[in-house]
Amino acid sequence: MTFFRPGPALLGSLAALVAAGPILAVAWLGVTSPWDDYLTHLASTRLAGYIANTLIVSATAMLLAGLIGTLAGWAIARLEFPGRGLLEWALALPLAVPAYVAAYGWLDLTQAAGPLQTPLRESGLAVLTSWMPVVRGPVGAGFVFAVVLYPYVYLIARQAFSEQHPDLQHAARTLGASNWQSAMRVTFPLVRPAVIAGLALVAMESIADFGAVAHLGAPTLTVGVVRAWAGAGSVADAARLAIVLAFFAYIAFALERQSRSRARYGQAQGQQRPTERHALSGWPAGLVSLACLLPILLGLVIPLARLGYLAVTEPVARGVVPALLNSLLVASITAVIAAALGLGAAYAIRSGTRLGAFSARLASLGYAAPGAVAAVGALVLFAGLQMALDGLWGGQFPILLSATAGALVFAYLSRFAAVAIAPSETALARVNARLDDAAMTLGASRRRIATEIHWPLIFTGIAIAALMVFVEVMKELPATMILRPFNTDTLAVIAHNYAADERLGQAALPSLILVLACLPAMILAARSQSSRRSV
Amino acid sequence: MTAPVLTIRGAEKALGGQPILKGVDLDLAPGCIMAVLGPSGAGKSTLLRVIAGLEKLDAGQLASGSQNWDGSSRFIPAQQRRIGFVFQDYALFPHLTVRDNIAFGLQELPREERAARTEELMQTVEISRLAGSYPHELSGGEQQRVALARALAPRPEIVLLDEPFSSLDRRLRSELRQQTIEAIKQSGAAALIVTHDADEAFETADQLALMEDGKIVQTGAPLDVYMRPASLTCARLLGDLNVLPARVKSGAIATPFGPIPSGKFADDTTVYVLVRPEALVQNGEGAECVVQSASVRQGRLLARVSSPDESIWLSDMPLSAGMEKGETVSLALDLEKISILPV
Repeated sequence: MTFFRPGPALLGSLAALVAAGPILAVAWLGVTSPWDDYLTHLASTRLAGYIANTLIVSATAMLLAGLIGTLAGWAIARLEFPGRGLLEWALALPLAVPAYVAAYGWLDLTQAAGPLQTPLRESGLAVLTSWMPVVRGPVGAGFVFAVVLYPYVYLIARQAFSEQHPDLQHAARTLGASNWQSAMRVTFPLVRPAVIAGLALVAMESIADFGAVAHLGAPTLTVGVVRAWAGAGSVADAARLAIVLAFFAYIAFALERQSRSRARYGQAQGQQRPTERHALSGWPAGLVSLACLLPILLGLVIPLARLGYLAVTEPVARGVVPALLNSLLVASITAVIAAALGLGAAYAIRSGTRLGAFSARLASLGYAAPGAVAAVGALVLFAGLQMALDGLWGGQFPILLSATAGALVFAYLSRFAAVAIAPSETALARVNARLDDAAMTLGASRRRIATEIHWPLIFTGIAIAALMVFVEVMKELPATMILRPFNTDTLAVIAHNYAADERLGQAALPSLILVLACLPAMILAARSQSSRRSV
Repeated sequence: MTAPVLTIRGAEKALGGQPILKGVDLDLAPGCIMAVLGPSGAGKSTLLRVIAGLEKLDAGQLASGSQNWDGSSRFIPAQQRRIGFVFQDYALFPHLTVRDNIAFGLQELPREERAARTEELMQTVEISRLAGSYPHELSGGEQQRVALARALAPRPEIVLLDEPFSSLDRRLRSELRQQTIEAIKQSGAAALIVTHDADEAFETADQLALMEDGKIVQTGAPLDVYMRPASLTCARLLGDLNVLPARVKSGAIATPFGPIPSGKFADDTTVYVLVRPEALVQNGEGAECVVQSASVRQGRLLARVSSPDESIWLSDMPLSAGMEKGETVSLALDLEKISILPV
């Protein structure tokens, strides 16, 4: 692009500021504030446990999610079997289930007093119950994360498998490799960077989670951050723990970035050809269909069915409707703003200026900051701003900035702006710069190019970006816990509060409504992605 | 001669710190079709982008008729230049039908006129039956026609074509070339066609401009340029060539095929003798040469032969049976078709 566009560059820089601000604030506070007893005490007691749990949880989640996601991606991209078209997008749906909701369902189902173990004991088969695994502790949490987060691996692996040129396998076979060998030596090694990028996302999400690990008794560093703030009331301690947490998150983030840039080498070069799918029939076809159905059962159907049962049999929770409205409101507002920021950042990248690219990259860094870190950062920033304003005002400035919906949306944006940048960038990258040139030589103004060329071509991508942010905000728990205005609850918060009070029956309804509110958005996004064809 | 529709003087342009155009001078007469021929990297595409207003000149002047387009701190943006541009990859709008692609530049016309003009162009390039199709449903040749129709629709005075046939297969290429030229002639626009294919340049152009290393090195009627190249590089751009460096001695130049007159060159000057393959012809009194290899090209035979002094020459001869490796032929120079250039 030869011409300067101030708008997008500005939005891009804004996105960068919003995303990077909280992390920088956390780092600053963590380093400058005095150490006190709580942290020393923590370091000698719980810190090692937090770190061990963080590592076990994310390792288990990555292992299982990698297995499920890669195999499902391969089956959908390379095999033809009954239900493939439906499963192609349905396999992405567990992303609509927050990990804590799956955790409520699974723990209730498998615990000693649950519907699986109780009948066994009553019929005198108590011996068997000791063999039945209970979904709890760090490994149980890893399992829960795997069944709701595997779509990250699945989506990216499916794309990598279907972008592989079929001639690569043909070449391997003409060189004497068997089907099995060509799969092991060509097909799977080529998608490895893509799978690792997906796994890094799984790790980042499971490190950032609060609700599931708290419920399953596997407190990770995120739980530590929330406890330091909510229990001990120290922002400085929360900030310091947040630094440790951010460190782990950034390892995963760096891994993701590196793998993603390498993943490009796996893509087909030259003329694209539709991937050939191997048609299955008879019992192998049925078996593959069932196998691809299994992850959806584990991540979506089983936990939701259990919660649905609880919701109708147990007393009704109160405050669900206002909480639903709150959730929808903040999620919608954040989604629209994030989509605008994402679009701005994507334009900034496209403009090719160094500032543009840099600010967009900085903005995508925010995604690595777990919600708890973003929330603590937002607290610090807004408290600082409040103090500055009070000083200028010469007294209490009328608007209380911290603990308002503003701070909450700010923290969400800081965390999820990156979620919006990636689809916007992909969408805009598909708009060849020659199209702008062609439109210009045909006399079209900048405005007409934006509205009649860019917008129709990128609309789907931007809509997906907004939907993804919407779903993420609906599910978000720790940042909401820390920043929500007094007496204002979201669905996620009331579900968590009921669950924390051991009143799972009441937690069931808000959990269920939460997932049902996310599902339509997720279905739309998943379907449009699986039907998307390159232009 | 009428005033040129495009005048370029001393045009310079650097991209990413790399000088691409290094002082281009060019005149384009109204209605003239000019081919810009040059190797890749010569700056041909950049020249077109500068003319279209997609890039701004670093130095020099660019004017159309009496209107100054670029240079002397004046810059008319692409939108206002009204130039037709056929891009190498066509750049059709993927979300618009063929009809809407062609009508895109006709926004200022009333609805009926726009529809009529669109219809007319689709007939000219024979794509009326594709009016409702989307670009990705078209073949390469069909996309090229749409791109041409879209560029011609707003009746531009100048059309720029950037390697318009490069992605098409050979047979389709020459058919489309003819249709493209006819459509442009019919519209009355002047055209610049960028190509690296000499045959294409000869087939399409009224005027030929040779471009090398950011400069226009020779312009003229295609035949003139072919017969009297301004430099060795110009000559090489236009096709196969035998080059013999030699020194003038007593009014003659020694060649393996006998001495030739040195013309205007004085004794002891070093010259290049440029011999096209068709200037090395079979002749009973010529030098005995041995065929090294031979291939059929467009109904004739292009042979690599070794002359009596062992040097290798290309000769274009009529197709005849038995002209194989090891065969001996007698070859001589056709003095009419030889040019001599100073070193």
